[in-house]
Amino acid sequence: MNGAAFGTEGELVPWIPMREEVLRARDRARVQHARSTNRPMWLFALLAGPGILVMLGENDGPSMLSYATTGASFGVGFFIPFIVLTFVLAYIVQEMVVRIGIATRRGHAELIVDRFGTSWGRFAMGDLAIGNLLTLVTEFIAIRAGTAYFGVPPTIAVIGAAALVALAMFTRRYMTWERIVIALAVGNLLFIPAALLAHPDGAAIARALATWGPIPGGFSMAFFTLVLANIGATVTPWMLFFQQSAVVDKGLARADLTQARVDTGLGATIAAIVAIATIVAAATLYNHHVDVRTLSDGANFATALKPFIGSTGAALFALGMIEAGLVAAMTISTSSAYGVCEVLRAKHSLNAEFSSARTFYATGLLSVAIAGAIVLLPHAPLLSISITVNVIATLLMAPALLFVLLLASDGEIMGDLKNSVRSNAVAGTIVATIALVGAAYALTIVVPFFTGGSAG
Amino acid sequence: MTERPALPPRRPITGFTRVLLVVLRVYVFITVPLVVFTFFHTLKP
Repeated sequence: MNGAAFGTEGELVPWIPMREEVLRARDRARVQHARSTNRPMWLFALLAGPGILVMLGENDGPSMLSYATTGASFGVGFFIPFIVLTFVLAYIVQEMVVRIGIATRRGHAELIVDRFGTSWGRFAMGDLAIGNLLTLVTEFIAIRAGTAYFGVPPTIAVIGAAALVALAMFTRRYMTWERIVIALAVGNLLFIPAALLAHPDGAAIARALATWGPIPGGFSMAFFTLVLANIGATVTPWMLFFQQSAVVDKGLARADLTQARVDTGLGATIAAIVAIATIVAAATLYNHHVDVRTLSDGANFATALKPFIGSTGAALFALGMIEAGLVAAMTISTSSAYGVCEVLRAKHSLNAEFSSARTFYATGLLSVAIAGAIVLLPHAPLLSISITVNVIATLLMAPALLFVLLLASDGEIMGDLKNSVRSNAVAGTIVATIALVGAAYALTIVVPFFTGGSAG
Repeated sequence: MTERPALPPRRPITGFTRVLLVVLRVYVFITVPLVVFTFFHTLKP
């Protein structure tokens, strides 16, 4: 692979490719081979990953808790088709991010710096790093709660999870890291057998999909809050940064756009099915009039479900919660590493050597270490963190989405991959809706503190 | 291997994009203190 390149004065200088360039070239050679030998399934297997990971990563600890609370509060009804809609929105947003990554070959944070200046880039980096750190804390809370169901001490659970995140990064190979995380993400499907063990009423699910009902109790404040929480559980800022950077790190090119879209669509479909399964499983609690206010974490839900779906079903539910936290910890810490290094102009690739990408690996590992340590701190303000995470994620979604829309509409960098007028109208409406809904959700959390009511 | 295309030079931000970024700046100035206040407010026993 060694050769020559032109220096700054136009002279020939020796060129030794970096490790990540060699590995990416190898991956591309495999893709070329699969494409030239006309093996579409193998080609898709090579190119899929970022879309599936971003969607299953977003089915994280807090999201699964939100779906479980929805099922336990409202049963099978309005929220089944609503979840399908939220994942359609997520697909539309993430598809734009894929196109931006393929057209520009740059990560999201890097592109914000390049097109809007350093101050906006630093703002994007800061909100991503802080939001992700707090979200990581909630993922470790989910892992701790899920493992507590099996009697695992919190210290072993948190340190074990952090070690797994680090081990995956230590492979120093994007493809290996991606396959490890996808293998773990398969655990998200555990919510499906848990739902089947609840013996769901198929006709009620079909009726809910067809009629968008019923809504027990009508349009109450609790209903409105869960609508907003479920939107927040489907579209979040880290997803934008992660998928664009992963598309670039994986080396996806223009010819791979179809597979990248299918990857994202497949991820959204699987994630939606799992989210619906979680609602259906938890709806058993609604049917048996269990008070949802007594359920605050994954272990509570698993224990409460045990009499109705059996010990196997409850164990599957708890295992699913552990998986949700673990996979999200891997993808979110990586998105922090990408975002921070893109703005700091430091090397950022999961294919890079430790010595050449110290800031990248240090950011990812440090965020996991800090989040894990916070969860283990006695009297740590975990409630404050959980509430602040919701506020940050929903409030910062508006700026993040606005940048996606502006970048995807920029013909100078997107060429013929830029948003059409029609897709801009659709995406613009979605961005405005999510921004307003996010601000409304944040207000439902913040206002009680100012008015003396109870949180969230 | 996939090469990074060179980006065109950054041009001054004008028109509707400039309006959107001004709105965004105002939004950020309102929301950041709100987030900080919420966090510290929830810390109170």
